[in-house]
Amino acid sequence: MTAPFPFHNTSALTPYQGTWDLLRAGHLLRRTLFGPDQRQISWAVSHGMKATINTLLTNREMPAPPLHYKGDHEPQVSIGKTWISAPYQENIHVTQMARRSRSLFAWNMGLILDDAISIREKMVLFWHNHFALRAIEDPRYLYRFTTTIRQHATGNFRALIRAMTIDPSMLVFLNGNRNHQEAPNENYARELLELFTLGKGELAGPGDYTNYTEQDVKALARSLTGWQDIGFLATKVGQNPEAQFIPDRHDRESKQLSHRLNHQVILDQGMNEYQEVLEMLLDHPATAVNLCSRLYRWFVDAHIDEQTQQEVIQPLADILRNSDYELTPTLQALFQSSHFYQINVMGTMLKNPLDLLTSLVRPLSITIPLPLSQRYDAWYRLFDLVRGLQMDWYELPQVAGWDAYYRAPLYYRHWLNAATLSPRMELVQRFLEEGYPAFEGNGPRMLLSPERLLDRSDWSEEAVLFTENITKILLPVPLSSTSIFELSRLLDGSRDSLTWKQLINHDDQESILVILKERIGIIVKKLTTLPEFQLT
Amino acid sequence: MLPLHMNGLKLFPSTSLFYRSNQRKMVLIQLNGGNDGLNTVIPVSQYDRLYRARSTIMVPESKLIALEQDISLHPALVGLKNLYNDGMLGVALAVGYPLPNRSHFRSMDVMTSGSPSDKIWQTGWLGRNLDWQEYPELKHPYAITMGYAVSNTCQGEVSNFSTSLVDPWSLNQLPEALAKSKEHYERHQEEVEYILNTIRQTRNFGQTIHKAASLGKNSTEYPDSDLGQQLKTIAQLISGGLETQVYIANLSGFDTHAEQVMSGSDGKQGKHPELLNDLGRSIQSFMMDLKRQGLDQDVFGLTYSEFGRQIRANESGGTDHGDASALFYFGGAVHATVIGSHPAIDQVVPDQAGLPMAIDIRNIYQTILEQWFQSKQIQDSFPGTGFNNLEIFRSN
Repeated sequence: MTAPFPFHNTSALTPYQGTWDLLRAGHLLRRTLFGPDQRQISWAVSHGMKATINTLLTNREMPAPPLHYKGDHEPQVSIGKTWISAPYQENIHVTQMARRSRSLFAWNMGLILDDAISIREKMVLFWHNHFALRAIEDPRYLYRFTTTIRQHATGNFRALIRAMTIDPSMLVFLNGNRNHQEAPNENYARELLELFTLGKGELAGPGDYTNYTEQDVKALARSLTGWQDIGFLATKVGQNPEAQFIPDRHDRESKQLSHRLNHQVILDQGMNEYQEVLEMLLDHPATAVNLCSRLYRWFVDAHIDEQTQQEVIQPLADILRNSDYELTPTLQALFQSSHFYQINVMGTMLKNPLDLLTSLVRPLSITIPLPLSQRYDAWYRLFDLVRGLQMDWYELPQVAGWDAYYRAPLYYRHWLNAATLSPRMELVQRFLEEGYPAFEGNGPRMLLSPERLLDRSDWSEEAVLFTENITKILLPVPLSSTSIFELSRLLDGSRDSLTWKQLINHDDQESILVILKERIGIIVKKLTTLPEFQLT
Repeated sequence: MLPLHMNGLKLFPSTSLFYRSNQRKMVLIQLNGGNDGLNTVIPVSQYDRLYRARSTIMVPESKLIALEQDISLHPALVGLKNLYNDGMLGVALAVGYPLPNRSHFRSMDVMTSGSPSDKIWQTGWLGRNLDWQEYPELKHPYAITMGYAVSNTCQGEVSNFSTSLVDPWSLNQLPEALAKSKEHYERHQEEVEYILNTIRQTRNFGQTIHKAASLGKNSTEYPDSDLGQQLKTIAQLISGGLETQVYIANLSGFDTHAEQVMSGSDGKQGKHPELLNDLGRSIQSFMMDLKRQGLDQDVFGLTYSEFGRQIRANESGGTDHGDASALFYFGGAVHATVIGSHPAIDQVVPDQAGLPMAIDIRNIYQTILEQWFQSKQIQDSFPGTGFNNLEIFRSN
């Protein structure tokens, strides 16, 4: 058996020059969007790789903030207005926290379902995984956190890491707010080195992690002293979540770093000291390598062998450093590379719960109700389904993020095991059969519309061709012609009924249309219950 | 047909089927976040030195529960003291590994793989060492991890030998087996095989687990906590005849960098004491349940965490990542004693100091593999190193 495409290209980052078709365009969009539909993939095919990548990476306006959409828990905010600047009220703040969280999560799902050809939301989730946090109870804090990430999602990593280091949620989560000169708290400094920037190297000796040592953890913790968050569950008008520097809490002694960081000494610089620390970490070559490895595992493949390290990760890291930590050139180089379009990376990623859900509800277009409160309810319902499948991007399981993106050898396979299998299968089945109530009460149900998978003008009268086109939207790699042929016979119905071709030539009749839709439903059900559909 | 070899490893045994040396079971309780061992098991002869380093979080000496002359337990662990008196619980002091690593996930990887800390081994200490092989018709899972994830202790070269379980009643309602496509995308095809295998195994195991859950029972009340319910389910499955030999339960929340005890409570209330209370009561219920059903002799349990915490408390009323810490083992066949001698606490505790290791955890693993599971492959367990058996089990 021979592979139809070359497995390996000696210069992996050379721009891809091969065929640009539904397979390649679909691969690019499946990895960079949430559940691309036929319209988006066709657009990418006709505009070409370069224009598609440019569009994906184009900066977008920031979205309007989440809204107060129902309930009487917001005496100062009317329905349809945002709560992000509204203080809490003493006696009802518990309800306010719960309802604002719902609003925030629903709003975030709404952004994910947006139909723009933009990588932004996938990068936002990447950063949520990179700067993993949990148990931040104030939704105003979380709104600020996710907004900061969104602002810098494809911007400059220097700006992002600066903002994260003194972000109010991060100060709470990794105890930066408890870190002061008399008692340095190591929590943030340790994760800054181990996860956010340099990355941990091999253990080379006692307390020596190759890229840094325990001494550096302590020294950096001291450099970062003095910062605190204010505004947690604030009841005062005008008090937004903020970071403040309190000079008395800052350690003004100089800090001696280890040989791993060239015995540098950090002198007191008060509130600017953290920036100096970050500059030092950005100067270190390991930071860009760590970031590019994590981007690679997020977008391409979990397994990084020596060759990939040399031919892909290292050159990407060079681009990142040479562009002064602007992310766009690195992402551009990755997505246009011949390496990215190798057949051997297609369909090798087990979908995370969010990819699984969106790969159903976007191409098979569920209807989200329009009225504000129903729309938010529907979005929240979808968020909750993803959370039920063990993916909650405001409550990460570990500070290192989801197992799928760092833990060898299972990597993406962590998403699917005996406990998550049934709920994943049930999700697919239920969306196809009875749907989920869009909002509380006896409202309409969110159901998939298989007949909307392909535009009516693309309904081929050839059952095989029609089937093939459907599989190219729904599955990450093409099926064999035998499989396609066998599937296509489902469109022809049973022995005594009208064939697909006969039906489609009379699709102006309502009764015929009903039968057509039914048959498309059967074939979509078959395809979405294939193991291939669990992959991207 | 599945390939017989995957990544050069045998998927199915070609000759004999799975060999079980005995019917013994083991329950691991993983304490996530890094348990503060020094506030769990306290060396009372060094109380003053400890107190100087961590006065904000310590329980007064008079409130501790004495276990042996020099070793006392946190008062929240009264359940474990009772088990100790009944001969069903022991303590191992200052357990860790050389060259400690203070990263949560790297340290947990070392604990679950049994690797030297400067080496990255992807296999788990159980996955590598027990007579486990991929076998498609297996009815009883080798190991069960409670929750939505699988345990790294059971990671083999290719697949993980533990099956995750949330609700023993839910596994039976799977959709029909999926049809497989024929394709030449090799890496993609490997993932498809993984999914198909998971489905097949889940269906097989689901029926067995469901049956065991129906036949099994509990004879005591359990705490209404997550851990309590995990152990309750495990006891029910063992009682119902499930042949699974390894169960992994989880208790999270031990990363107590700040406010680990409630101020003004003499160190007896707050996050960490609540976790200890849950741990002690849940283990006690579990062992009493098994004893009443005559199953305690077949079950052994062990707690472990990725690391202990630093000796000095920080000024946030918490403790930062440290090194070694005490752990508990329990069961009807254990030697109820305190193993090891407690390392000396310095007069003036240096900044960032953790508790030095007195017992390498791999001694415990080796003892379990050799004496409890009577594994035949022990020589391959921890290559290049020699470990000694400890007196964890009664010799009769």
